[in-house]
Amino acid sequence: MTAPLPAQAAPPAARPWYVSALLAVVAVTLLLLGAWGVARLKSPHPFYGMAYPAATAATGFQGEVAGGQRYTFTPGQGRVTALFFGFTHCPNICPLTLSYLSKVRAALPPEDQKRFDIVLVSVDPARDTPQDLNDYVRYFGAGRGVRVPEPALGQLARAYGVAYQRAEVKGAAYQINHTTATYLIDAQGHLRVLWDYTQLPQLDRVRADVQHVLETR
Amino acid sequence: MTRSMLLGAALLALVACRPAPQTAGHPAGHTGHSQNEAGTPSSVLSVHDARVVAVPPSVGDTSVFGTLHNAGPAPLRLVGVQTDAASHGMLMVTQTDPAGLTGMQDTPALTVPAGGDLTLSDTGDHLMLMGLRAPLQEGQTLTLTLTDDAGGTHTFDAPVVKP
Repeated sequence: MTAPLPAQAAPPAARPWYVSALLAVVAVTLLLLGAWGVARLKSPHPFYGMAYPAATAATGFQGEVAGGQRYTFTPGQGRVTALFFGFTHCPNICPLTLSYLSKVRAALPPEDQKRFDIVLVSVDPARDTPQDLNDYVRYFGAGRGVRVPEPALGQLARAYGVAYQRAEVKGAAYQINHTTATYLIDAQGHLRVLWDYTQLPQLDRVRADVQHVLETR
Repeated sequence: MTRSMLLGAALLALVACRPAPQTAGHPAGHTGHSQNEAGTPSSVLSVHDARVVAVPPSVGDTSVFGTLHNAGPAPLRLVGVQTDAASHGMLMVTQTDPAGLTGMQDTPALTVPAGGDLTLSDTGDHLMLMGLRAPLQEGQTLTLTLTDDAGGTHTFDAPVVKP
């Protein structure tokens, strides 16, 4: 009669592959969340548009507005400005830019609306009178239309990286092909962000950019 | 095995966590009828969400946007547009050159693919109405006629709306 063998302890079960994989995914996710958190802390507002380097000075200009008035744009002075370049014979992009920016402005709190301007500079000073520009801007939204004559317009466009070029259209008045960005200038006169035209329909994200710039005095 | 498969599936779902594609809803409004040369409705082309951009009285041209649907088995090549409200209509494409300049250019034809859609928009293909005969009023409706390369006409209504 032999004593029964002591029961052998079962070998520890290997961790199933899927548990390891799940743990790996969780670890990677946590790492990515951490990195994102650090990035958010460093830059509290991730701009939707393309952000400019810090302290990029915006260029001022002079032009004509309705009623034969001279208009001087001095960047900053406590006001935030959305500036874009277009023309009144523009069928699509210019009216919609005005419409989008006006909707963004309307979505701001009333006290912020008072500090936010929308300015259209004509890239067609040969055809656009200050009165036409004024009517056009008022029709599609709220803001100011400015005629800057050549050669000052060319210098101003270069300062903002704006390009424009006359294009003939068969059987119709000429068009101006132009770059379609909108530039946001803060209350200190710095260029903060630009939005490509295709970004403007995302009104909430554009408004968040504007609100952030309004808050950083 | 089933449990490991389930867990594997859960893992895949976690890794490939993407929102489900949205099915595009068709706009309710849809007007339009087509005629071939004999004048019988062919109804191969339907127009959805058509709209004419309202412009101030000082502007004499405007754009038309919407979605064209071709229910037919062959691509539909549109070669013209006209309306009583303007001296002439044009087919346009929007182009952006390498320097980033965007503008529109007239094109001899716009093609609606067989069984598919052509979207007319501010950033792409669209129709232009040149030489408006009278200032447009928001809320008025224009009747437009598209012509295809076989001589068929496709008439639809589009309201004038501010963007």
